Amino acid sequence: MPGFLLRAAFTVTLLTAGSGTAFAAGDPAAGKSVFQSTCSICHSVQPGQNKIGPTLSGVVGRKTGSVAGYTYSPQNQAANLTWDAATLDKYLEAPRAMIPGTKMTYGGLKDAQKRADLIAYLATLK
Amino acid sequence: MTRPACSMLWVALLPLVGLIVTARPAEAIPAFAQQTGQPCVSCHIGGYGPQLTPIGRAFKIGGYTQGGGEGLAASIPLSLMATTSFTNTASAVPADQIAQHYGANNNFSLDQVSGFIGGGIGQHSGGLMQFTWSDVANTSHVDNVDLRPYTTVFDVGGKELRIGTTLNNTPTVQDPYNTTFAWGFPYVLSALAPAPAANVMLAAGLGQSAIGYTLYAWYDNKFYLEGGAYSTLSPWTLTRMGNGFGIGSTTSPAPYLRAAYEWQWGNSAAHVGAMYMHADVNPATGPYATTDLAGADHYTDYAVDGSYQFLGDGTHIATVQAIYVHENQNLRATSSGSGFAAKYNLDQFRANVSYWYQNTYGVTLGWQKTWGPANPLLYAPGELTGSNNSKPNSNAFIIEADWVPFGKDTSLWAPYMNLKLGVQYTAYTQFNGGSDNYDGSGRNASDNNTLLVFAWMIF
Ligand code: HEC
Repeated sequence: MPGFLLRAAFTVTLLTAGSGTAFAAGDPAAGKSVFQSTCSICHSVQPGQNKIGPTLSGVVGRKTGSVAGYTYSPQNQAANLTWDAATLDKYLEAPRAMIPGTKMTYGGLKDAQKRADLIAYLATLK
Repeated sequence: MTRPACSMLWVALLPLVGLIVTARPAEAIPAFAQQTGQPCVSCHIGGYGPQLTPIGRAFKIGGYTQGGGEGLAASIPLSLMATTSFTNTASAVPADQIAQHYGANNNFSLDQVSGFIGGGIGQHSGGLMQFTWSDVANTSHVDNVDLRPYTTVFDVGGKELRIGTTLNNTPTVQDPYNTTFAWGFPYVLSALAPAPAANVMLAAGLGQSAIGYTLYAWYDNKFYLEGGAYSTLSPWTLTRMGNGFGIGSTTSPAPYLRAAYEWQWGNSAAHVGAMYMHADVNPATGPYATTDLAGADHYTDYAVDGSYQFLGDGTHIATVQAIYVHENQNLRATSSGSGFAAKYNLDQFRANVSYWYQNTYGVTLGWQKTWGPANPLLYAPGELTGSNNSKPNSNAFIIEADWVPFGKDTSLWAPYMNLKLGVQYTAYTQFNGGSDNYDGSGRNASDNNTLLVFAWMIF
């Protein structure tokens, strides 16, 4: 079976088996390419580098709205959450559903496997 | 039928009735919204192209490669646009100057229908191509082309350096700022209404008749530097593309340089920039012909521009844009044997301010002034389009009100269609050198004051 079919079958199995609660194991390398194609226009992974959005260096484990020198929306600033695999997964699927009023205009990443890969990559950014 | 009902019917029929002419190209193509998974408002002020936000500039400089959209539509790089309008000028145009199939005044037209191919191919290449059909002469032509054969990002001491190349057909079509000409205000124009004759080379000299290669660098999302050159295409190619010569055919590649610096802070962005372009051309003698009998004319443009954008949280948006161009002309070829001097200059200033409420209701005020010494080589008396004193001077104030009901992420049919409805009024205090009897045939500048009501749709 070609690689991508295998992968699709794997994803489907994971999704049905996991029924939304478990997180599919993420692949940071695949996540990096998702990041580059989807997030890098607005986010840097370098510490201290804010673009249209705040730097995502060290995002896993930090509180919402905590990057110094970045002007957040009041909603993101006051969300009072800690970014971890669970909150990021929910946020990245539909940012505005979780933080209404966020100025991140990106609509969301619906593909659960891509989200898992992306979060695995974000976790490597220290 | 009562009058209001009658005009309602007209509005309803407009998209169907194939009348004609006008207008400027537009952007904000839904193919991009689908590719990026972003609503139009992310990249465009007022949720409708072409005026770019900082994200829009990043997308364009990034070579139109940014992804993020999902599903089949994300990979279909096609969009279709149509503009229909109603044009009224303060005084009807003279009987012998009426565009074919049109009345002397109060014309409805299907101004243009454009197809776009736009998007990224992988992470390093992308582009935008526009093909336009206009009913004026019932012709199609290759409109704006901005291809990005290759772009990539380097890490320079923790900061991003993006390097890229462009291949385009109009100076400034590749520029990230809407202060410049290819995508500058007014974003929609009436082609049925008379327009001032004089324009600087950067705005109109080589557009769509040339091919330009440029190399650009964007450092830390702040400093933009670009350099390249333009050469006009052969008459054979131009005939096939449906575009004629502007000022002429280049005798050597015309250098083009652009530098800009942008600040982003809080919810604001501002830039200052400069441009340079020089061209040596054999003057045009017809749409597809130039002459080298008397050598070349030389044009040199220097421009400075700047802008400010307040984006807030999207509820209130305000923008200011301005550009000033000084042009030196050495019309050696055109002047030869005429007894007139060869050297002239031309200045142009354009500025506009806009305010948008919730990216839905907008109003823009614009000012355009062109001036210079009398130039009998380029401007001669002539009914409607000429200049009695051979001066290029024009002064126009433009006010436009727009309604963009869609274009937001929650909009109906997002991200598949968008619509802009607008009313634009242009008032001239000077036109082709004068206020009263500017053309030598008794027409006043204010006779060309234009009311344009338009509907602009894109899918
Ligand atoms: C169109 C630009 C844009 C894109 C694309 C984008 N973001 Fe954002 N992002 C923002 C902005 C702006 C904010 C700040 C939101 C606010 O203050 O309301 C933000 C905020 C965030 C935050 C919260 C940061 C904090 O410190 O609280 C996270 C996490 C995040 N983005 C992750 C991502 C990821 C992962 C992607 C790619 C899937 C992505 N973003 C794509 C613009 C973008």
